Amino acid sequence: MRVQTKLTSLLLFISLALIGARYLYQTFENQRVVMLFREDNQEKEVLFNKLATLKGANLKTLSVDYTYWDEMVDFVHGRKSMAWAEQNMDETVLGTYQTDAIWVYRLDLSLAYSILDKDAAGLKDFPLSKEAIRGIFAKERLCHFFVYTGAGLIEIRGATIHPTADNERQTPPQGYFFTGRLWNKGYLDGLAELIGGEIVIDRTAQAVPDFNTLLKTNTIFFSKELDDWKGGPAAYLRVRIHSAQLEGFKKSSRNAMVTFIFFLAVIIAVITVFMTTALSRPFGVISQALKKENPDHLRPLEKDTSEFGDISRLISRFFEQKEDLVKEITERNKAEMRFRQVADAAEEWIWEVDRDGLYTYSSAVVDKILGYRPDEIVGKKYLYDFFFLEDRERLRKQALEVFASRRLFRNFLNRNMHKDGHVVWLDTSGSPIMDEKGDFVGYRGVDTDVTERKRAEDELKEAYIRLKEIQEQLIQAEKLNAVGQLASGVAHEVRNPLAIILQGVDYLETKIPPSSGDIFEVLAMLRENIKRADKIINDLLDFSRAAHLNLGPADLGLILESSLDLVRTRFKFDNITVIREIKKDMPLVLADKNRLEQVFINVLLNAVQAMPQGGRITVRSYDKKLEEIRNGIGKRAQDSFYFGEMAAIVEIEDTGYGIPEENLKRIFDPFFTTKGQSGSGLGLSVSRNIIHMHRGLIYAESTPGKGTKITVMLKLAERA
Amino acid sequence: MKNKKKILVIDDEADFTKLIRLNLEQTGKFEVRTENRGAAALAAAKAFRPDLVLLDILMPDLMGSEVAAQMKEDDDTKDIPVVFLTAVVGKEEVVQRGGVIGGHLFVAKPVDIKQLIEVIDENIR
Repeated sequence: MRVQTKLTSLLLFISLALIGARYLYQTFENQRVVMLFREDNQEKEVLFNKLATLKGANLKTLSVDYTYWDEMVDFVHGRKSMAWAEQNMDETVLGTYQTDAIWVYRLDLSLAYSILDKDAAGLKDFPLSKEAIRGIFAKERLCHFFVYTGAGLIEIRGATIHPTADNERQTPPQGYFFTGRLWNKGYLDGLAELIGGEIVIDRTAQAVPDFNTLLKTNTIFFSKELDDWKGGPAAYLRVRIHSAQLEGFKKSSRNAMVTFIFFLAVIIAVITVFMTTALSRPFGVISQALKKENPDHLRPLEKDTSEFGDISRLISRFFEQKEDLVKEITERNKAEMRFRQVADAAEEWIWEVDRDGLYTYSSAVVDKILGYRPDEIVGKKYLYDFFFLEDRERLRKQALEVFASRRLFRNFLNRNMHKDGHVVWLDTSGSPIMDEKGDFVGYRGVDTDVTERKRAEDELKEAYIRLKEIQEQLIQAEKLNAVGQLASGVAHEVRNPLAIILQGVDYLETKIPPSSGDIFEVLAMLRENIKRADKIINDLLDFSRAAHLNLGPADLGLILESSLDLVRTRFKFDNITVIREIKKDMPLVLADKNRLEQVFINVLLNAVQAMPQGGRITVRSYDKKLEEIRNGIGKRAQDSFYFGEMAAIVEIEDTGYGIPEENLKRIFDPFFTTKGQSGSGLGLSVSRNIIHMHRGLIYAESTPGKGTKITVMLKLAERA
Repeated sequence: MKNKKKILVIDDEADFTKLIRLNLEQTGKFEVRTENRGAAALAAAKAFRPDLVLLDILMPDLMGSEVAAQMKEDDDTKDIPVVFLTAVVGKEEVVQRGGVIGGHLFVAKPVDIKQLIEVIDENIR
């Protein structure tokens, strides 16, 4: 709820409360008025009664005093003369007792004397019959009643007559005495004047006027029943008195009310004015300024010394600060935008991490580099989460060490894994971020994708190594070429003498007697060594001759079978079992059948030689997708196969004595042999050359004492 | 011994031809004539009319292949089977090629007499 609404509500509430108070006050006053009215009414009635009693007292005194008097007894009995009566009951007596008539009756109810005031001329006779008089005094000695006569209403007091000594009226009555007063206008006016009101006599009962009307007109009203001699109503006296006290009270109350309302109005007006000027207006100004966000609206409160002045100045300052802040934020946003644009346009991945290494910002280019969107990284990945699995623990430790030292780091080369699994090399540089207090909050840095560079470097390195190898091989080849030339040169010259010697041995064997054991043995040695010399020459020639291939699609299974066939005699001799696991319907390979046969024969013969006590040779062939990590498989120029390429595989596994670790790497080197004098050391070297010329791979695995496995990988014809 | 097969051995190595002759002749199955010059081979073949010729390839005066070609051209000798005896080609290569190179039978030196006789027996007319 707005403050102004609240203020208006408060004002309304105060007004209502005041009006309520006024209403309560009014009610209270009304009650007081009613009470006052009743009290006044009662007082006036009592007063009236007293006055009436007082006025009637003479009448009573007269009727009492004249009736226990021996002279009066004498009079009614005729013992006193009329003159006594006229002397003692003359007009003076009437005037003294303010009565209008006196009647004296004898016991027999004959009138003994009567006197009437001149104003009561209409009366003449006593207005009641003799029976009535007898009735009145049958029980009582004194009486008081009203009766209507031709002259009007008359108040009558009567008493039985007794001797002076009997003031208690114990003795029998001697006669009857009545005195009466006319309640004529004069009497009533006198009475009315005494009580300050108006008196009306009705012969019949009238409805009592409405109380509220009486109250409204400040009229005190009461009525009195005037009894006849039987106790019934003879007439009704109605008294109306104007209550000046009530009127005065009402007037003062009204004045008080007017004054109250006036002050109430003044107070409300003052509060309203105060609220308007001191609260509502400043509030309006402030509210307007806040609504329009314009501090110019606050100008009227510039020099205000109240809290509103303070507030308005505070708001002005706030607006100024806000403006500065908005400017600053705008500048920052611009800077941020520039940064983002640069960051997103850059080839480099720009990032921020918190003190734990959790990413808090990542530029969009990371999608291109690592395959993740920034929203997959920020708040979800740690700095070390992308490190290549093998390197992760090591690099994580290094990264955390750098974090701990808060050092700046440059060109931290690290291997990472792209979302799709391929390796991404990143060159990372970073610097610590400190907050305004100088506390470390994280790192900000740049990653450059150097995979291609690294690959180029690696390739360069490998190319260099390869070059060196080739150079060495060239040198070796030169040497071998020389050896080859020499070999082919001498082969002819050596083979001829060997042929002569062999023929000689053959001849001599026919010429010696069977008993000459030693000679036979010597000749056998000669024959064996002729073969050895011949083999050396053949190997040398092979080695120097492996220059070109006659490539074509070939059935690997057939080549393996024919190779096995060519050496089968050796299996029989050497007690060797051959297990064939040659896959049928293999795709054709691209090969020089004879050369490949030469390789397999070589490998098979080596296997045979490795099992002098006999054993088992397993020849296995199959095709498969190359997914292993191996030298020679990859994208480099010198790699024979690419990752995922289908290739034909031949495995020749023996259960021989195996090759020690230190020899395993050298077995393909020219002239390396473990067979002592029985090997030229060229067999596997020639085999490797042949396989390499096929753009295939050959490698050996061996466990000393258990056996050796030679694996040959060859290109499929349709892929080559 | 009319039923002996006639073998002409042509090789520039005189020791070799001599020992071949001795080894073949002592089997009693063959009559052997030797010649140590290529140039003399054709005349010898025409004169001797052998059932099979053992011919060296690399000879100083005339290559064995030339001799074989001349024999192919001459009606008297064109049907005589020729087995090349050579130190130029390795034994394993000859074995790998089933003893036939360029349509000719080959035997690599050094060769023992048993193998040689087997080849002769297989190819003699």
